[in-house]
Amino acid sequence: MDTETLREDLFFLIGFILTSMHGLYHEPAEYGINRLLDAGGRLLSIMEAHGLSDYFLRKLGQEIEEEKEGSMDSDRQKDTISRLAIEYTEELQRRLSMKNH
Amino acid sequence: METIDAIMTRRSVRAYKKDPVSKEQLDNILRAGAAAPSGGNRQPWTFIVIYEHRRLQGVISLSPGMFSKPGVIIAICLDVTRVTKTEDGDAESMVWMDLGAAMENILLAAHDQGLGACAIGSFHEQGVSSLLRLPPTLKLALLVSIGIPVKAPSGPKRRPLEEVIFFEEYGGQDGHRNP
Repeated sequence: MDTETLREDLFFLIGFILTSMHGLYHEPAEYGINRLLDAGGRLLSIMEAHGLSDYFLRKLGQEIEEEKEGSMDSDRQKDTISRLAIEYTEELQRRLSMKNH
Repeated sequence: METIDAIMTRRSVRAYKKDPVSKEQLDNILRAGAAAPSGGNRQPWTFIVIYEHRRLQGVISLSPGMFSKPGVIIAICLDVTRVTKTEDGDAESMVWMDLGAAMENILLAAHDQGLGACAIGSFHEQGVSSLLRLPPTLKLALLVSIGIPVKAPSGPKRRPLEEVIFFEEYGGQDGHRNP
């Protein structure tokens, strides 16, 4: 793993998070969902680029990217995010049970 | 592409492939931006083109409205030295419309070139201005991201024409359509 590049990628991500926070004081509240969605996608992309991903995270990243590429349909976005949260919870439970055995 | 087709099929494209935008494509887009109409022919714009990888990364990190890495970013700036008062009144508000016209030309030219583009208003103005070393006479107005589209997004819902267009007076219907 290239630690220096990882550090730089994460540095850029911090910039995105900070400026998102700053911007949200003046932007519509629903933009916050898009910013969090984007932050998740950017983090997953960094993990993928540095060999820190796996099948589940890769699929999650692809779904987030597809959501970002679409037009801003808030109902569809809400359904997708609800489903991804449930799928993440199921994966979390699976990983925790594996560690317990 | 016919002009009316370009206008009706343009979409805000936020996701791009890694392929670069060619110099010829970029030149055409920039010429289109600089050819926009402006009140009193003030041409109150300056365009900063960003395509070097690390500088792109820097601008993206300060621009929450930019969802993925484009091939190029055009920063549209207002040249405040070209904002003048006229005898008719305050011309200041007009220069923002001039920049809007330049932005639309850029978006349409990108679409015409087979590229995708999106106007971005969510960015940290002070941070991006500093990164681009803008002098005090330039005010950053908009960023336009441009690249090869991953896919063409579906169009958003539009308000019904009857709700936004009237004839002869407010509330008036088109006599030709509704005799």
